[in-house]
Amino acid sequence: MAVRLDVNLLDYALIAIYFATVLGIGLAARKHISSSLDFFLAGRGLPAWVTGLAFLSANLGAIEILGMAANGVQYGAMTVHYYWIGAVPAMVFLGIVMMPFYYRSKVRSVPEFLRRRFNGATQLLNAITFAVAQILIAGVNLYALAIVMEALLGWPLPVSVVVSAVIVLAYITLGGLSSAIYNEVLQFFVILAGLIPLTVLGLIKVGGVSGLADKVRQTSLGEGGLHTWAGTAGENPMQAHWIGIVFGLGFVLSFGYWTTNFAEVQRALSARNTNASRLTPIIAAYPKLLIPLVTVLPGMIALVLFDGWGQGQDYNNAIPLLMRDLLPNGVLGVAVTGLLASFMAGMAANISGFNTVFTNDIWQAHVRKDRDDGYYLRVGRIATVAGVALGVGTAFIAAGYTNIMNYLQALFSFFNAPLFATFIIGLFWRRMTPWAGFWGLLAGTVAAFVSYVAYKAGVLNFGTELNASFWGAGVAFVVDVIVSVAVTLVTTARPTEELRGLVYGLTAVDAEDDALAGDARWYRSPVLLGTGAIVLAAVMYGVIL
Amino acid sequence: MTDIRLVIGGLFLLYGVILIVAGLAGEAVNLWTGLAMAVFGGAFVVWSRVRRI
Repeated sequence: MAVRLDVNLLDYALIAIYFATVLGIGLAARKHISSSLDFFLAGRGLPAWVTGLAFLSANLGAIEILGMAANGVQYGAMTVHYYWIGAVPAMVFLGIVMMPFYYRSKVRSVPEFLRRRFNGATQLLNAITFAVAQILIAGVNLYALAIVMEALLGWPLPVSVVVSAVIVLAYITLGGLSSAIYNEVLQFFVILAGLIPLTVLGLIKVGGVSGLADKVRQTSLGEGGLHTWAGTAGENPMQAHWIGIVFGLGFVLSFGYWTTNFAEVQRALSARNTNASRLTPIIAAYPKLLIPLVTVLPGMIALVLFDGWGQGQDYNNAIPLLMRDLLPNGVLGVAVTGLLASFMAGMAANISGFNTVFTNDIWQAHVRKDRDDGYYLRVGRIATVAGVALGVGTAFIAAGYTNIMNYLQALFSFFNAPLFATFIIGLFWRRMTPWAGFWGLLAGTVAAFVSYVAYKAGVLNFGTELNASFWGAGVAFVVDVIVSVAVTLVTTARPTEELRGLVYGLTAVDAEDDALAGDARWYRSPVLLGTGAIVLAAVMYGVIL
Repeated sequence: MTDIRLVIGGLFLLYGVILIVAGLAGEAVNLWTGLAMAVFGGAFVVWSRVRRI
């Protein structure tokens, strides 16, 4: 059932102003691009608050917002696990432990790090899976955007697909990563400007927090919809055990995604120095703790205000229904702009990750080496155009085969788990050999694929989709570890000197100190701020145990 | 390049003013949201002027 919004000229004016600004940023950024480093990593010159908000925004796509509100309707307060244990600890770990290796090794991408630590084959394997995944995810994003626009505003599907693709294409081709990042920061504030009034009005309507709690108790979720851990040893809305939540969601899935996904790590690599790059995911962790207030909470409000959930009413309609019934024209335009902007920011993150990995790790590393910098800048721009074109193609395929696209997207979420295993062994065990990197990653990826296909074909039964992803990722992780260790024992390691700066305990001799004045202050300490984010997550869990 | 704080501030000031005008003509929600956005936008503009890059 589609939810149609009553948008008027005022709303369209607000939407138009936003996109004029976005294109303006692209044009302004273009003047400052003179090298491929400017294009792919924003010249490594951004302050931590900008890269931090971009880091958060790259993951705050509209699919995420609508999806987490949908989970809020379906599972209630337990949905915060996706944020508080499923994201924050991994983001802090990335900042404190892993960013120094990524940033100080001066690599431009995650696959490039794999080449330095292991070999070219490992780089190529990761680059190809990543590039293919980004294109498919960009296409799925674009298709989801078109579906929402068709439902909410009545725009025909092909029009939304082409218009949004052209806007994303324009600002990335012009301004590269800096314009993607600047737009992500802008989008973060605009989506909040739409979601905060929505949540406040919703809360007023249901009688405040206590009124909401009373009404949730009377729904099918019952008391379980108001707790996070209390029911996780027995019956709970998610049907998940606390062991699965801690190890599956909190460790394997979350650490895999946040620490190795280049579309995220790229934001931190564009920071101005090592300290700013370490602070990037940690600064993002604080708003991440609060995002459920404008996604999960509205979902729970929608649960009690509307009925027919899971039957006549699609869970994904939670936010659109609230927008329709609570927001007047004006604020409604801001909220629609926020949704459109977050769809495009999600796609821009995929495309800017794709163009960097394609140019750097596939084209420059394995096809055409040793050309001048201007050549690779051109390849990057062409890769952007090609990436968007392929994304549009994928969106139209997705329109015809919705299920296949859902499967593929779920499948790619498994691929990060083995990558994380390879990284973590490679960082802490200097004996791990180059070919162990390659075979471990390949075996882990194949294991992820096989377990997912076996689940879909009904050969393996994990109960729910959520449990299937916990177990699939877990199996992939373990297979990667076993194969990596086994191959290490029969192949030769790299000489210690080549691994300086790439493994734990071997610092790079020539690494200069890039600290800026003021980096020593307490509010710029990654360890202190990171610990603060974890403590805050624990305190917030205490509030809704 | 152009200071992002100025872009964010400018956009929010403009949105704020539009919503305040719309709010004075009708819905109170627009007025409150508009005021909040204008204050937020103004703060970013001031920040970008006080501590230049």
